[in-house]
Amino acid sequence: MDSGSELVEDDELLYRRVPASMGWYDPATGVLHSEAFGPHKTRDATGLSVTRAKYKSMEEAARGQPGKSYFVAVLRAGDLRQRGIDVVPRPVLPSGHRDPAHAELSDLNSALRKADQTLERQRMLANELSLRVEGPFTTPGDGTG
Amino acid sequence: MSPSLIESVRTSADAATPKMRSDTPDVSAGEAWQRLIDYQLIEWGSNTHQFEDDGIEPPSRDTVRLAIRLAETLRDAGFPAPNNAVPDTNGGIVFERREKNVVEVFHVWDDGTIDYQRFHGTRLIERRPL
Repeated sequence: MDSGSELVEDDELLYRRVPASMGWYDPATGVLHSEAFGPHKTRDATGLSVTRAKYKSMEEAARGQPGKSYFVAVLRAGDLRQRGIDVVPRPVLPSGHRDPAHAELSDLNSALRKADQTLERQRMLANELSLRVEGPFTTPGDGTG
Repeated sequence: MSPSLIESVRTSADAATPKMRSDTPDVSAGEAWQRLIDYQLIEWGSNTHQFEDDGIEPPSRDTVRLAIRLAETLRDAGFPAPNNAVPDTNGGIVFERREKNVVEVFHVWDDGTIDYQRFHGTRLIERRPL
């Protein structure tokens, strides 16, 4: 198994976790809101986090705060690159922990969160580049898993 | 958020998307705005913790108050109600209305600024601060 620092191949699938509580995905209509791809003002300094499917299952990628539910949007790296959105491996997290599954969309970052191009890219990701949305998956609560 | 800017947004938007035009007061749109204010925004203001999640900032009470003011202004100006209103990642609030391939957005940012944005598909064709 690789360390996670190898190039993200064009045919790799990527998972983006989408908190169910935010209303960013409506399973009844299938509409995914562009805010699901909005960079955080400080935590996404180097890019928007995604999970490489070659390292983690969808259920693992969906894991978040205990007791909360999450959808998972599925993307393909090559599709993103064709639309000018780069995907880079980032196996070392800002905390110093290693996660070989962690990658980032480096063009969508904190500094550019209000830029016109970022707003357009968010919309591309939600409306055109998400292959499907799965879930919701509930993260086990404390003591239950 | 001046009335003249709101008016200029309406003029511009109406010119490009005549179906969204609202020359006469639309009672159902007004009701939809009121439902958004009463059952969504006021609820968010009284329970901001519902959006606390991994890496998400819930909207502050000030941001919710600003969004309510914006909703009231747009309601009174006869704008069609949004299809949805959602929080953003950083404690802002987004009103979005889709009409075929055109999407209009009013974005209340976490710093108290407000943008009007209009997209054709994924392309941003207009953006202005309010």
